[in-house]
Amino acid sequence: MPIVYLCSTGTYSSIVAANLHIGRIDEQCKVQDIISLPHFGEFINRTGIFLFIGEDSKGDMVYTLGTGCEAQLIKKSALDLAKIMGYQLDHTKLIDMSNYIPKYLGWFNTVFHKQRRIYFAKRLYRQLKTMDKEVRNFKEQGR
Amino acid sequence: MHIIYNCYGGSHSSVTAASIHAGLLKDNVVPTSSQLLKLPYYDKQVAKDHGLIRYMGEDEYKNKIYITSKHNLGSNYETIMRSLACIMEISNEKLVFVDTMPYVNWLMVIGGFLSRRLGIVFLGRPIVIKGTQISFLKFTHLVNIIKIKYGRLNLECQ
Repeated sequence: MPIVYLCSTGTYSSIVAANLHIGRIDEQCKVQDIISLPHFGEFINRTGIFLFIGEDSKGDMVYTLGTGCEAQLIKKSALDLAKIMGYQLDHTKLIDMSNYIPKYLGWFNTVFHKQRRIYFAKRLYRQLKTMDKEVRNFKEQGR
Repeated sequence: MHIIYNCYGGSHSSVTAASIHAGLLKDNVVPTSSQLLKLPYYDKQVAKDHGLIRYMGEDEYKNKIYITSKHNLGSNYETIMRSLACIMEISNEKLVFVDTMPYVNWLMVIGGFLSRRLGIVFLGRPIVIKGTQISFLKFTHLVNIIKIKYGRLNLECQ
């Protein structure tokens, strides 16, 4: 079953959540561990790129996807697309993590190009416990 | 083929283009306001409907026609949906996304905003209808291109 974590670029909160999911990092990790995650803070202006992060302990494929500021809209569209194509969306899980990053991400990325990865890594680090709880809840109940 | 017309709110331009494609409107006659208002979903969708993919009908080549809304995602909407289709292992070749926003004029923008966003229907609706009538032949032009391009393709596949 593919599991897709969504955020505006697919490279910030979704990357952290996906890596929490597959166990590459845990809630004890440091800011530097977040910055060192593959693809963290990449593709700042390329919405719609999906990234394969890895497989979890149950063999499910974990991805991230950038959906701009419209994660909820995309979830609805994905559900309907699956229906019209005769596909069971139960076989794919979409988890919106966009509420962990601010909506000013786009211009922040442009204005503070060099500092952006450190700034958002620190910001996500402060929310790591909540994110970890959400990911754990999904792993236990969401399937 | 599944042809999905998309615009900001899925209420006006995508509905008009999809209706021409599905044969609900004649492509050579500018529709009256009552004809436009009889179309399914025309000036009816609200914020909670955004993102839903609505079925509008079938064309003569057996393509299925849909509408949806994408807010300000622009061409990224298609990229995102194709990425999801790829993840879900849905055949991308059977999906066509048609952006109707380039044919939207200012009257449609202002009328649509007044009617759908602000809820001032009595003021916004006549403006958006006028705008749709002005751009109608542009939508017809777009639909004809899509029909020629993908209609024949569908016949060849069969």
